[in-house]
Amino acid sequence: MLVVEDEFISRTLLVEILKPYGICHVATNGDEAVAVLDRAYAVNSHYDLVCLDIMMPDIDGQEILKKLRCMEASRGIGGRQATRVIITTALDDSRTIIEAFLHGRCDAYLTKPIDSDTLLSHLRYMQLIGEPDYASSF
Amino acid sequence: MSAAQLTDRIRSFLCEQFQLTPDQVSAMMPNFIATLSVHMANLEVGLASGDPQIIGKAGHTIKGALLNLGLADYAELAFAIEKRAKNGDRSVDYHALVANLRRLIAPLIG
Repeated sequence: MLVVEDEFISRTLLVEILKPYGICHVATNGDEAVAVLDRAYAVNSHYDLVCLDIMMPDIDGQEILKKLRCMEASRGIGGRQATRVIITTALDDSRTIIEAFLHGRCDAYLTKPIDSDTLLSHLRYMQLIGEPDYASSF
Repeated sequence: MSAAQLTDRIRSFLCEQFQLTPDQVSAMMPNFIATLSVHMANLEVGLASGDPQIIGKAGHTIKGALLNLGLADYAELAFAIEKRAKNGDRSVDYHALVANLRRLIAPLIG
């Protein structure tokens, strides 16, 4: 999993939610995110999930999303092998969100404040994590 | 709101919203408050520059932090700064808005 978020508090909280479910890398700006994604593909690996802040100072999330999909396309990666992308945004900006869905084929979006239940339900729907183990409660 | 009240409000929000334990929140709080202080300072630097785009970007950053700390009412003020600055609105008294935001979070960041 990769969290791309330039703001420390938001980044830390996202990592705290995700880290029980796997290794969680971080990128603090767009350039770093593109470099990290590129490096993963260079070693025939990829991230199952990218949580991507849509508004960052240098390369914004939309641009990163386009680059990610180009990296996948150039390697023939698609369908269920494609990286799931959840965009995060500080406001319910419908135009930005629609663009991310239409042009970047993002899978979900979250508005800040991030809600851990909503994030985890997206991950379950994407089959990236399992159902919680309720059996241990009985 | 006093520093203790603000801190309690943030702690409760973080525990509930992110399902964090009180110990986890205690470990995070000093860094979060220090970060908020840096964001506020950056907003003031942006204000001194007089460049609405810089003010807007700094307003955006602190807005996201405030939202994730459960301070949605303060984030509204940051959003007002961001939105107007990014629209290049020079009729706004940004000094007053930024000073108001500092007054609100001063109990936390000093």
